[in-house]
Amino acid sequence: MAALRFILGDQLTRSLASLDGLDPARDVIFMAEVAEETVYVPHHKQKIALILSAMRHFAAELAAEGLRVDYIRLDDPENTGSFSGELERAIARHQPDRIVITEPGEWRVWEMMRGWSASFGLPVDIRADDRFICPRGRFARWAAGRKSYRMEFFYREMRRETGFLMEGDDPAGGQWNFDHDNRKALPRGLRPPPRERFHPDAVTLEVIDLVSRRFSANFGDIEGFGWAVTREQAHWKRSGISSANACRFTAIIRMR
Amino acid sequence: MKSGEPYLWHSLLSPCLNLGLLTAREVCVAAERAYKAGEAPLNAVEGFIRQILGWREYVRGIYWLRMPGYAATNALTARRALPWFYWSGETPMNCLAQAIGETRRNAYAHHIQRLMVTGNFALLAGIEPAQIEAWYLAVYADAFDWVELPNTHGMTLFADGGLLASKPYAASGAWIDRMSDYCGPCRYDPKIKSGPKTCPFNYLYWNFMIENRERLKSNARMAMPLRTLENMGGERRREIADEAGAFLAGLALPPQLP
Repeated sequence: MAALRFILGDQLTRSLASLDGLDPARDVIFMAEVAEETVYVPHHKQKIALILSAMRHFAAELAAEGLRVDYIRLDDPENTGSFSGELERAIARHQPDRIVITEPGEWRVWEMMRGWSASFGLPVDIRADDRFICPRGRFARWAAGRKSYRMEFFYREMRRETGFLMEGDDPAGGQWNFDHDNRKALPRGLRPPPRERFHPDAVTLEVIDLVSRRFSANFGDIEGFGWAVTREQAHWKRSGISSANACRFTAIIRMR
Repeated sequence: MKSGEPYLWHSLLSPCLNLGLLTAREVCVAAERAYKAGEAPLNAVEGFIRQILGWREYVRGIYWLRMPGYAATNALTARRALPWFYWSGETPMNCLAQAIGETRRNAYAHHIQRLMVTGNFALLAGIEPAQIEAWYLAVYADAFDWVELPNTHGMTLFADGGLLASKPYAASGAWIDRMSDYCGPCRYDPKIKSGPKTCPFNYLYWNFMIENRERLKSNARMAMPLRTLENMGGERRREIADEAGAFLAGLALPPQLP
């Protein structure tokens, strides 16, 4: 029983449902950079570079674990330019007996996925994306019978269910919402901390070069690219927030 | 909003979260831990957790609950084409030029710039939802359909007729002036009521109320601006509609691409 485990560009999480029960000896993890995903809207150059670089880093991390990873680059000469085309080629290469995927973040791709079992003649296991805290069915239960969907009430149910910022049955600090503390204009003379920038490594530089050539007419500057492209960088960023640098948190200026 | 400060205190975690480099649970755990350790105040941590556990999960729930029909709604029958300045950044309105210029440089703009500058303009000008939604989906590093669509379609444009937001987030130039330093160097002045120097956000705001008053009159949260509109009198309302009409007719559309 060999499965083809197909991972999308916004599914770069080691605990992803698609990787549950992976057989490292037989299963193949498949990722593909395809043209149709780069053109369905005319993306900012940095957005394309971010996704491609993060995909390549994630694939390299999986391969470094000793897992079998098959990765198709945007500029591979044989690249058909679509998920369906690349899956068809991957099935021919690896002869899997099933495909395992996690539900996507777009209706457009969801529709595509639902046709794959019929078009490839293989079972396609589409798993729920459990990186979200609230399952789709749970949300539908909350929404059932409501005329309008106010976030505040949903949020309180999520607080109770997860226990975040709860003291027993009560919200921490005795109230659910501290927005009135967060609505002030920026105090004079207060300077925000500088943004953490991650200098592009060799992988990112190669992607930036590809994007600069292939998407030169797209909106946006590629110079100054400084996004986190790995979990390690993202994690560093997060621990920076939870450390003594509490001022990053103190002025969430919002209106409502 | 502050010129030259595109990030303020925003965490910039949205691209990491939306790609999967971090998970929603672990950032909530980290924020709660910071509060319990006395490293961050409750109002800040609660606001952060509400954005992740509340808003982010909520818009994702709405997306899958209501698609594909959700994207096709157009409650305010907005039909105007997206003006070219969204791509070029070339507009004499300083707030828009700042927000779009930063978007071009950084593939990022923070929540208030997206909602109350570029989004507010699209709402007031009656830009067709699908056109402005494609723009948001294209230009931001953190934009994926499940999160971009409900935020723009529901929260920003009120195109779902109030499923997400309890009222349209329409604001005049005075609001932008109070919440930013954009207006000082601008060619327009939000304090001037009419004429060539008045801020277009002012007459676009009132023109929006004129065009949508029948649709919005049953919304209690719109009672105050609609009453002000009534008290203006017919002549003033005609003046506003004329100024808005002339301004909107003069917006450049995208050049025809080969």
